[in-house]
Parts: sequence; C-alpha cells; structure tokens
Amino acid sequence: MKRVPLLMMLPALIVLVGVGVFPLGNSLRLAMSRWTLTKDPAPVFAGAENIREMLADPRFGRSLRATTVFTVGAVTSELVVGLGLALLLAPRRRFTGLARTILLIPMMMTPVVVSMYWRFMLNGEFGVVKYLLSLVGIDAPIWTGKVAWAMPTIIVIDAWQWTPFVYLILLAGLQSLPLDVMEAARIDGASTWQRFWRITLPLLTPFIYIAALLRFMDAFRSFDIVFVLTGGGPADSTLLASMYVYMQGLRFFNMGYAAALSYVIVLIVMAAAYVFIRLEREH
Amino acid sequence: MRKRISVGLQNAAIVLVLIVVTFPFLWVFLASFKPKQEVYAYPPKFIFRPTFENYTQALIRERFYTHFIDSAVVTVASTSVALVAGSLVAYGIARHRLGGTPLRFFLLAMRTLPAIAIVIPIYTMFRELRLLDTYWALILVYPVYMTPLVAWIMVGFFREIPREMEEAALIDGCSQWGLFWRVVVPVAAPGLVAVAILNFIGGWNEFLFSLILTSRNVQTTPVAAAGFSTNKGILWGEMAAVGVTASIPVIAFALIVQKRLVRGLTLGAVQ
Repeated sequence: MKRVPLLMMLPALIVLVGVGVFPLGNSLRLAMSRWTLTKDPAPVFAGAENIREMLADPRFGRSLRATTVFTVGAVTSELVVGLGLALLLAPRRRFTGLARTILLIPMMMTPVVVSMYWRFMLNGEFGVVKYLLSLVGIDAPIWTGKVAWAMPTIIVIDAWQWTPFVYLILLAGLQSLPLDVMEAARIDGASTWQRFWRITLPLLTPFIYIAALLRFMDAFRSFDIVFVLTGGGPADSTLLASMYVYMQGLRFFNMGYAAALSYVIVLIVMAAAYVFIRLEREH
Repeated sequence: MRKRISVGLQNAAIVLVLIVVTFPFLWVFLASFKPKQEVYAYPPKFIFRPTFENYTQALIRERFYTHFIDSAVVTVASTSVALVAGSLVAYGIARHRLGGTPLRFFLLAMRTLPAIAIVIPIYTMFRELRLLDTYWALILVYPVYMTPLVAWIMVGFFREIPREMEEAALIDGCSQWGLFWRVVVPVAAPGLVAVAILNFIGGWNEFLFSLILTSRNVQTTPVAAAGFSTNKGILWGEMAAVGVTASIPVIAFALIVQKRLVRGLTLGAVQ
C-alpha cells in the first residue's frame, strides 16, 4: 500500500532522468572536452578550452546578438498585437466567434510547414507578396537575401504564428477582470483611454508577464524558421543561437564545443526566466 | 454616431486580421491544385483549371505518405508513453502529495528545457546505443517534454474527482491499481483527451530532434518537408500539396476540440 505512490512516480522518473537529466549532466562533461566526431575516437578532457574558444569566436557573439534582436523583436510585436486582438475580440459581437476559432489555427500548424508557406509567398520571382506590393506601387526587396530585411522577415513570420497564443492568454485575462470595477469607472466618467491605462492594463499585468515569459523561452530557442528560410544568413544576420549550435554539432561535428554553446543558452534562458519571475513577484 | 464609426472600424480591423491569418493557408491551398507551370506564373494566377497532379505525384509516386506513417507511429507511441507516465505521477501528486514543490518544479524545468541543450548529448548517447535513425530514438525523447505537460494539467483534473467516489471503490474491494485504472482514469477522461491532443500536436510538429536523431529509415513529416527540394530547386506545387496534407490533421483536431483545448492551454499556462 505504502509503496504504490512511489511506483506511480517510477515511469515518469525513468523517462525524465534517463533522457533528460542524464544527457544534461553528460553534456557538462562534453562541454569540457574536445571531441570532433570525424577526428577523435572519444572525448578528450580539455578543461576551459571551449570557453576560451567561445570568447574568441566572432560568430558566437553575432549569434547572441541575432538571438537577442529576434527574441525582443518577436516577443514585443506579439505582445502589442496580441493585446490589441484580445481587446478587439473580448466583447461578443459579429465575427468574434469565427475570429476566435480561426485565430487558433496558426499556432497549431507545423512551424516548418508555416516557414515553407512563407518561403513560397516571399519568392523573388513568382511570390504573391511581390505581386500584391506591386499593385500599390512598391518594389519588393529580396526578403531573406539582404541583411537589412532577413531579420524583420523572420520576426514577422514568428509573429504571424505566435501572436494568437499571446492573444489567447490575454483574452483569458480580460475575461477574468472584475466587471464591477470597470462599470464603476465608467459611471465615474472615466474615458475609454483612462479606463485602459489606469484599470485594464494594470489588472492585466500578470497575464502579460506570463505570455511574455512563455514566448520568450520559445523565441530564444527558435530554430525551425531560420533553418527553412535563411540557414542563418545572409552574413550571419539571422544566425540564431540554436542554429549555431546545430552547425557546430551536426555540420562540423564539434560535439564538445556545441555542448558548451548549448550550456550557455540554458544558463541565459534560466537567468532571464529567474529575473522575469522576480519582477513579477515584486509587482 | 461616433460610436457607430468606432464599431465599424473595429469590425474592419477584425476582418483585416482574419485575412492576414487565413491568406497564407488559402494561397498554398490554391497553389496545391495548380498545374505545374501555373505555380510559377507571374503575375500569379487566381483562376486556373484545378488538378490533383501535385497530390498524386508527391504523396503517392514519391511516396511522401511514408513520412506521414513515420510521424503517426512516433507521435502516437510517445503520446501514449507520456499519458501513462504523466497521469500516474499526477495522481500521486494529487492524492498522495507525492514529491511536493520540488517535484512540480522539476517537471516544469524539464518542460522548459531547450531542445538544443540536450540534443547533442542525446545524439552521442544514441549513437553508442545504436538507436539513431530508429522509431525508438524519438519515442524515447518526446516524452521528456510531453510527460510534464500531462502531469501539470492532470493534477488539476484528478483533484476535482470526489474522494468519496474513490473510497467507495476501495471499500468494494478495489485495489489501488484497480482504483486508478477503473475509476480515476475513466472519470478524468476528458482531461486526458485534451492533453493527449496537445501532445499529439506537439509531437506532430516537432522538428529539431527529428532532424538530428533520424535520417533515412525514419523521417517525420516536418523533416521531409524541409528537405523537399531537388537539384532543380523546390518543386512548389508538390510542396504545397504536402503542406496542405500535413496541416489537415492538426487543424481538424484544433477545430473539433476547440473549447477543451483552450481550457487545457490556459490551465497549463496560468497555473
């Protein structure tokens, strides 16, 4: 009888420790080793060599910068547009039922397939975006081929897919707001703007934090879009951290260096998540 | 009057959003029925004689359907593993106060672990174990992310089950295991279905692990779609057919279980 609860834990622990914790621990060992699959038969202990290499590696710096720009750009635009959508669709009227259903679709779709859709639409020779822009007299740039345009392009695609997720959380937040407070403010003569800035937004803050945290953690490890659309280029302008780890590990087979890089990503995500949660508590 | 203009503007905004959201899907859907030359026509054609050529060519002649089979095998198997492991641990947490806060934190931490952080050591580990490029590689890895989700959402559902119901079953001579499988699981079935669907979608869409851990024998749909190019470049008509087919199960799931899904998602997000 007493043993039953422990047995209940067992399958989950086997899975999580065997394929999660154990590799993560192993990765620490790898991160301190030199192991090029094509050259070395086994990992050779190398201490802090990978850290030194990282500090001297310009591509690592570029990938961190690209990841930061991408994450901040994507999460910010998703929060702003998502909040707008939630406010727009919170009251029930014509279209809202249909709109709420349709908005679920992008985030359910396979990110790779979404990226392929956009690659097709943004094509420089026969892409429909080029055509639509030409109708209003705009000459479309080579979206993923120019340094200035590649990053905004992948940010827009990420926002297309994930704004609905932010909207969903914020809509749940809006629906949980106390109606009597809003009503009282209206009766006291507060304008729409005042009600938004002074009441709705402050009450919605916890939900905005959650949406931002969840999106941040996903955006920071984003991989699929750049893999399909840019491969990290042009000139490393969209070399997101995950893409760089993939290159080092699976193209150059530098397992030790790739493991060290991936550890840095984990530490950054953890540190940022910690700061986030602290900020939310203080609020 | 001002109010009416504002409502009109809001409706216009909603319609605009719906166009932006649906357009990519509609455009690719349209392209998937275009004859080969018309896919590459510029200016793009909106009216054409539809054909199933892209579908038969890509799915049947080039055997793309095998990737759907691979995806289905991996997704169903890993979701099943996660449902069993996750609901057992959730029941332990809900009824026996198993593990306390550390266990719940551990589950959350595993769920948020970036895939890229463990894929390199898993690759080297599976290389030793000769598991690379097998169904097992993905069936073993996906539950790392699926199990915590099942556990987090199911704890809430299990707590809602009245204790009296379970006590009555025990008095009637049911064993602990019998209680779990015959009483608890059937009662919590709606929750299990919702979380199974969330995991199914997650597994169906997963790319990074599949790209790195499998190659020839096993190739899931996203990896095959990303590699869908030949030396002549990407065959966009066939690509569109594959993209539409790959999206259908996911969209169908999303629409069928919309309400439950929203509840499951928000529960998981807000808790």
